[in-house]
Amino acid sequence: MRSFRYQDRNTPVHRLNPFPKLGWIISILILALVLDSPLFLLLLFLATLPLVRASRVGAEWRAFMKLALYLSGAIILINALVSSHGTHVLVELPGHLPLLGAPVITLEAILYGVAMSLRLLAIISAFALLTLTVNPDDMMLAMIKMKLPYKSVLVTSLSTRFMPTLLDDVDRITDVQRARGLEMDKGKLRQRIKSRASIVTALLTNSLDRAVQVAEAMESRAFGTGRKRTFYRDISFSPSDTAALAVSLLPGALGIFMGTHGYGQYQYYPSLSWINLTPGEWWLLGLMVLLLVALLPLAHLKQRVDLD
Amino acid sequence: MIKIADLTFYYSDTTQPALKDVNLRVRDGEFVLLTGPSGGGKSSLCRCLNGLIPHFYGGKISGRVSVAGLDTLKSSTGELAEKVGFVFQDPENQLVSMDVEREVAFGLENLGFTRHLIAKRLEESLDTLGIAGLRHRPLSELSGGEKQKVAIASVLALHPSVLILDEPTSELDPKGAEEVLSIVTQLNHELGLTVLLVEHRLDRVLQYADRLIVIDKGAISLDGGVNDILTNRYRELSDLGIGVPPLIRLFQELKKRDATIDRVPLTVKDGRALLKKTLKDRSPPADSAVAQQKTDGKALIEVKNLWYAYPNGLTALKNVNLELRAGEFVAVMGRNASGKTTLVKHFNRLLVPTKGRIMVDGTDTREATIAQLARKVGFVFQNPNDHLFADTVYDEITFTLKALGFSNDEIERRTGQVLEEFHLTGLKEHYPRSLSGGEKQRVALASVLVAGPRILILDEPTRGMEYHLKSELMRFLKDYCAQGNTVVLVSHDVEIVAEHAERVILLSEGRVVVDGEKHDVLSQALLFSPQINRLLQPFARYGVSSKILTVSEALDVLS
Amino acid sequence: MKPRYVFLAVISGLAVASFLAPVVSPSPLGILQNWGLMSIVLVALTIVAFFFEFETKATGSKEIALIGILGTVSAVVRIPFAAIPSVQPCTYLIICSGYVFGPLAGFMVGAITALVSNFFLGQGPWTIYQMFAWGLSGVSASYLRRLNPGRRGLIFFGVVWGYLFGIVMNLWFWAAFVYPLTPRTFLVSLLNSLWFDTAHAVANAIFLGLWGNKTISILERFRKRFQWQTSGPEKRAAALP
Repeated sequence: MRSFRYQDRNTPVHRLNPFPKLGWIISILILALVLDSPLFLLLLFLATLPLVRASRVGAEWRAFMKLALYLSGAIILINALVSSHGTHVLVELPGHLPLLGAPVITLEAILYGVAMSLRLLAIISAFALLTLTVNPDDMMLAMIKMKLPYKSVLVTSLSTRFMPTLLDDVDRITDVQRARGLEMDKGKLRQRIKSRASIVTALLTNSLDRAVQVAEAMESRAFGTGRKRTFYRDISFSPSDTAALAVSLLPGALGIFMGTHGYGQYQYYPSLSWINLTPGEWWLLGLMVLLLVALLPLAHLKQRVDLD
Repeated sequence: MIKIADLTFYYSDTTQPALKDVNLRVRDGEFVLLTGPSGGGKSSLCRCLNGLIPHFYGGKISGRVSVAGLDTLKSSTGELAEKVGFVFQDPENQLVSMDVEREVAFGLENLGFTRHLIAKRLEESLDTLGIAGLRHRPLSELSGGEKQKVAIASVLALHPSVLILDEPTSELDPKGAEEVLSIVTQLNHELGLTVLLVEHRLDRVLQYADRLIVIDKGAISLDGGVNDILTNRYRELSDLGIGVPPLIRLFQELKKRDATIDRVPLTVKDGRALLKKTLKDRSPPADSAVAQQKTDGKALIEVKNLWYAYPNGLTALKNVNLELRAGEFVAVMGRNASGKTTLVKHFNRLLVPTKGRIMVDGTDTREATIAQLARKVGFVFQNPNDHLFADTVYDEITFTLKALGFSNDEIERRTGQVLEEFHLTGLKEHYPRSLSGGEKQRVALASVLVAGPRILILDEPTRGMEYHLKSELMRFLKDYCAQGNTVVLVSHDVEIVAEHAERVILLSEGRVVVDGEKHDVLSQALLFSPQINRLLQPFARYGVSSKILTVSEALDVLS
Repeated sequence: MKPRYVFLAVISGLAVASFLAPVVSPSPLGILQNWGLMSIVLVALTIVAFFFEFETKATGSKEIALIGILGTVSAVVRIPFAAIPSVQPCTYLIICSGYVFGPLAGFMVGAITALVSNFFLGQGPWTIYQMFAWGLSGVSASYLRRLNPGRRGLIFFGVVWGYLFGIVMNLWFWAAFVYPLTPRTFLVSLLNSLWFDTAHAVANAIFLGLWGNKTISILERFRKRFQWQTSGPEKRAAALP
């Protein structure tokens, strides 16, 4: 579980302002969902790797990828089963199933499934990078900067702030109950759920008391006075940050361009064909990879980004 | 200046007033120590001063409260925040941000200060508290004492003229408590802040306070200068059940016997000076050997070559060897993170040794389940709230028995018995969490002892507890011991240990440093010496034993 | 103009446009037919719309502290249950929160549960769908209250949300990764997670059946205390006669 959260490492990618990273992820999300061609999707995925490598979170990133591979299996399987549009039949399953009819597994459907897996891998790789290299705290600052409503951000950050505290509470309460003879892993499912409920109840009541005190403390420090709130800390934007943000959003814009003009598409059904890219598409493909990878040298170029 | 006139307050849905006809004036720059039994109205009074009552709590209120020229009934809590700083009991629950800087800036941001001004105030507050080094640290990594300092800094940033602290040290270890209290004193002395401090541990602050106010049953029952009250109105104070430091108790007794002692010292140093005068005039007292009891009960817990390493690799216990006998009252002491709690968690198998073994009443803990051990070892945690989750006291107690698989008749019998024993029969249908602090503690104890364990472990049970509840608990523990059971008390509370335990085990960095009779362990131990011992140390040359720990022992020797 | 109307207009505008896009196809508007992309945009806009609504409706520190902490509780209780696969008490806690504290609190508790727990369990495109699904379960619970459901009703409601949650989560999976997008393929995608969704539904039923009423009464007791004062300064503290 530890590996699925922010990893504090001092790398150029970590130090990068969170906005270019957010922009980069949005770009990848757009590209991944707009592009169809297996070649484009493969390169999209590969284009995420240099940043992953530079951020030195390889082990944690692989944990994300394991999850992604499991989902990929489901994607390939479902596509193989539901799509009968292909012409190259590999297997013809006997019988007649509800929903699926008489399933035929075609080469086209398998390849489509594989391409969609690449789409998923690219997305999860990018989000892994976000989770692993952006401090939740900076995410809150980014949310404020994006003019998201402050109270929503405060609620979220308050909630994040209390995660470790309540995790300790759970440990302690669990110890109390175990010391009183509660055996949590004994009996049938219902029994096991039941024995944990005492922990949930104790945690809930404890936490509600905490909530009152938190509210009192906020009140005592002039929260909600109706005066216009100021913000001491802010995410600073140096020219290089602005440049990085602009660069990070370019691939997304490119994606929308390709989506609206029909580039990067591939016809899987009814029959596979060679991937024939027009010279224009080769250019676009190159440009896409270049723009995506460009964030890395920008991160290196930028000296320590001070978030203050 | 604080002015309170005829203040009466009812929480909504209550018929008993929380405060009744309170009249009070506090001058600017005064250091007021506020004490009294819990539920007596201390917290309510504090909350009237920064407007949480009535603006946050509602209820019915009459009278006038004015602080620094603001009428708290009419002004909003936001306006009052710039006049009155409020520090709460649990540091955990008053910090809302992710790191120190942002926490300190929070109030200033709410008030709409400019970034420039916030930066200035932030520096100022961090420096005043001496926590500039923590500025970028996430709050979750700080110790309790550090968190409490951040809380103080965050209210100080608003430049209040009055600072109210509602039991700010009750969740802290002695070192953290010491630091917080010395900062409060410094703020009063150097910045001239008016300080209202609610505190149960009088020993650390009496010497700095100007004035002592006792609040009981919603009214001020005692109010005066600290010296005046301790010297002349001591009886009233002790009649109210207020815990007085041993030093004061000793000199009050001496005063009765010896006319040359006409005042009560507030510090150990002052006490020595007083005592020196009187001792010089007299022949040295005979060194009466302090009574030492040895118990020869059967070994209930045997710890052999115990090593324990946490999953993160931190070695918490290093080769611990112990034997705890039936009928012993053992205290486990040591600094923070010295392995105290880790050690006792092995006794009921909440933790399993990495190396070595533990025998509890003849059973190797590795071969038993926690549930099986629960019939032999009871474990009471610091906060009774962690124990309580059921709808009624009755359910809370039967929960343990049900978990342990007792028969219905047996459950009925045992529960009845334990309810009787803990005077809870009348409360058995009550919701445990709405009981008073003392009652909650009794329910928590009852819910553990109903299984009939022969060993009872208590982890910091007296932290933040008021005096008479502490004595009640200790009386009970002694009775329990006398029946041939073993008590293991993990505690920082030197005075309680000196008074009630028999044997003390001192841990440091996961090793047992000293293990022995309390007089041997606690004398001349500086950090772990009780006040009386520190007082009498220099008088060894007058023939006073250096192993005296308590008031009654001291009186035996000095009379 | 109030933010909620702006959001409502934008969301419905986009939804309508994506339906009309095929009419003028092929054209650059074809991108509106990209359901994988469109559903993310619409769901995200809905969440932001709720955030804006919360900004105007939430009155102060009490609501903020309460909702923040309830969100943490429901995120944290995933831990003791980690040993029992796919049995999670979050949904039941979110439903109880919405039931007692109203639609907006319900949404926020649900959304925060997803957002905050994923800081520790891994963020992904699924985060916003979880925020959306849990948020709506909280919202709907507050409307359920008006029907006076009783224990059976609560259990039924929990079962429904167990599956609804699965449907919302599958929506993205289906729209982004499956071809062709027909009701039939959607149903097959649902089969993919049927086991998990059933476990989720059963767990909800157990939680709500056994502790739903108790949890609701704990929260109710708290709400009474919490809302001591709900009106303006004059009514805050009744002066004694």
